[in-house]
Amino acid sequence: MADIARRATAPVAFSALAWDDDLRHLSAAGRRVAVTARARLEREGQPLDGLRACDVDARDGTSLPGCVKAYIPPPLGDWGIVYKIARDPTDGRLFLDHLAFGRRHPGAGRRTGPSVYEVADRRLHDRREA
Amino acid sequence: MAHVTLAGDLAGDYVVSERREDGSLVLRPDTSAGSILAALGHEPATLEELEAEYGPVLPPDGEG
Repeated sequence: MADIARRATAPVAFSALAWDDDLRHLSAAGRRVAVTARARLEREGQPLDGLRACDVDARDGTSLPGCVKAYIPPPLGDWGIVYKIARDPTDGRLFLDHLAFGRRHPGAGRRTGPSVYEVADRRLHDRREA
Repeated sequence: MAHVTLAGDLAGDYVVSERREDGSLVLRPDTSAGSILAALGHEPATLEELEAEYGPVLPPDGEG
């Protein structure tokens, strides 16, 4: 119904294999950021005012249709989390399922590797890691 | 690419990334979006559904 007040946060879910894979590729500092962010997201949900649609045709060549993202820390932190929008069929609740966590621009820091968008693109399109 | 599901000390969906001549397998975690949603018991939903329930999100910024 249109007159229902819209909620300020959306529930977030994490799968163990993808999250552990993300952690393996992070520095110790990155893992601290990730673990802290996950704890907050599971406790409080993802604030909607920090949620942005992903690009279908991004300038880095990635394509993430049907995905949304948030920067960590908000509003323009160096880290990002990409979510796949999903629904729990048992109760109809919408969720933001963690698709990837990592650096937005890994070349800008000391550590190199794929960006969070490249990891998310690979997972969304089921492409093998390079 | 072959997929396997492990149960026991290790659990979850994995992909066979290498089959060796002695029959042993090299596995890597299946971190595809489909596997993530399946592990969580979720089904795909759309941005339109999210915005209908929660309101509009910020537009894409070209970054990814």
